[in-house]
Amino acid sequence: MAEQNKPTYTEEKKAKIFEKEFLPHIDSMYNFAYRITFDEDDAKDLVQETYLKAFRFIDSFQEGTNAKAWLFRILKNSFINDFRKKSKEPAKVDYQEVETFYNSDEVDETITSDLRVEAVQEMIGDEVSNALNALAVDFRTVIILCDLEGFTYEEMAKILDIPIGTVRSRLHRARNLLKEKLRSYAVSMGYK
Amino acid sequence: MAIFTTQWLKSLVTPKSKIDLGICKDEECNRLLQLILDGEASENDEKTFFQHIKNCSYCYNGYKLEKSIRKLIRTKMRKESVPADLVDSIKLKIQSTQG
Repeated sequence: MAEQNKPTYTEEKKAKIFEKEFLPHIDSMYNFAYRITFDEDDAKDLVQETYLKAFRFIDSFQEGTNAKAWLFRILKNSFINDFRKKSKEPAKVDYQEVETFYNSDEVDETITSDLRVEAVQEMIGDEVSNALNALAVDFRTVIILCDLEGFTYEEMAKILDIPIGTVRSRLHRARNLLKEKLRSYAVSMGYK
Repeated sequence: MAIFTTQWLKSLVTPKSKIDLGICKDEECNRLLQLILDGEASENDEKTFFQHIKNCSYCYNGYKLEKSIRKLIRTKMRKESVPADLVDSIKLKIQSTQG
């Protein structure tokens, strides 16, 4: 959030920005929240908290800039700072360590499996949702932000507070993991 | 023996021979493929890549597959509908904090 040239909006203006620039993204926000929490009530809480914070810090928002990316950043921070701590989810793998490993040059890229386009085209929503949901939350997040929400690498770097190079490598790793999951489905469907 | 020249040895591992075998595992191709499908590639990158896949079935298939997976995610993921009372409840909370 840029601190320089912070605008000070009138109450009327705040309400207008909230209505016209923030609320239209509620659908994306709720779906993102749901996909990282897997729970309706948690997703509601997370979105509500995000919007309350957005309103409280509305002076940090430059009108006309990317409201969606700004809101997603708040949501992601709320998830990490408040939510993850409270949640009953079991401890995650040390994902940073995994990432460091995969970012190193020595990694042998074993990329493509024998997953075929025809098998992918036959898949239904449940299969793809399950495959994506089976990924660790940080991997799931980059795929959602990139493929579903259409954020650029640069926007993702800002939302996630990581360098663009890390966005790229995390995405690459996430896609390979997803491909593996899809391949298992393809095999179970009888495709080879 | 003259026949084992460096050039000859190199020719065994040039992209062309890899293409012939249908196993182009050039990391650069994969990098370009990702950039293109994510809309992050330069015009030049695109030109290079699309020129390459004309002759490389491995990369062509890889491109098709990656593209179909992205499409699958975009079009078939389950969508949750926003709970009907969520917007109102947010607005109420904001009003109450403004008091």
